[in-house]
Amino acid sequence: MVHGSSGTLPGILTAGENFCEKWNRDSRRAQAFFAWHAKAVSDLSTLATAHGLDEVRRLLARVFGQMPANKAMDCLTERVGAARTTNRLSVTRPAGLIVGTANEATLVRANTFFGKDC
Amino acid sequence: MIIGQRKSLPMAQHYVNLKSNRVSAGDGHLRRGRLEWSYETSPSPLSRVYGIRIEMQQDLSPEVFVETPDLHLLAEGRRLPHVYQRNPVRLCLYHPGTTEWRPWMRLDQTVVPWTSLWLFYFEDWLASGEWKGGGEHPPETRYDGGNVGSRAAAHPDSGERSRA
Repeated sequence: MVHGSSGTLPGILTAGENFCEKWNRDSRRAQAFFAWHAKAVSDLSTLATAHGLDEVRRLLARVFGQMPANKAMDCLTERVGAARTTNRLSVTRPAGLIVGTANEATLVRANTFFGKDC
Repeated sequence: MIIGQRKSLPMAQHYVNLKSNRVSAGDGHLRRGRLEWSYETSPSPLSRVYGIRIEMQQDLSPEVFVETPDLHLLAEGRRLPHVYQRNPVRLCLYHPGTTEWRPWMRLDQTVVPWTSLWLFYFEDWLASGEWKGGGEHPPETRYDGGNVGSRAAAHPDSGERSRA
């Protein structure tokens, strides 16, 4: 059991292993871990409140930096683009756009967005 | 009727299709050959929920509006990509000069999934500033010293509603 800044965190696979043995030698390690954990929980809670892919991208950038956020979100956009090109993009009520098909999915046919504000 | 030409889908059939497809399930009405249908959709589990309204008159092109949320507020003053009309926002979902949409095609299998796709790229555009959904825009024609060109002749926003 972990109590405050010292204690035992038994390993699941190896008998006698203590994941936090170094905390007992240097309490700053425990403090750093709990600070990191609190920040991670806070960041994930904030991400969970995002409404819209744009907000997700902005919040990801705040947590992980702009480049990793762009990479993650651009990957999603590229997957949709690739599925659209190969005619494997569908839409469902609960999940929105999906690659492939599913029960009660509707195929996204080829289209060309039009309009003067391009 | 021209032999070999496919018949337009009746408005009542569009109504039934929209109602029975889970993606477009919502509410609407039919009056004097005019269909109005509203539903909610979200292009991804991380996306907002959008209120959509489809309007269509028999044999004319469908019009798709985003009722909620206010896309202009989300765009923070930037010009929205691929829209015909600004308030409420009417989406440009297909090229009117092609056969992408014809009156015998089902709305729930054409403009409804295209709307989800537009919203997906819209949310991407909001943060990235880049429209990644591709597309075209009508040619601009300028006054060139007496020869007045055919400005946006095929564009539905030119005041004509294209009869397909």
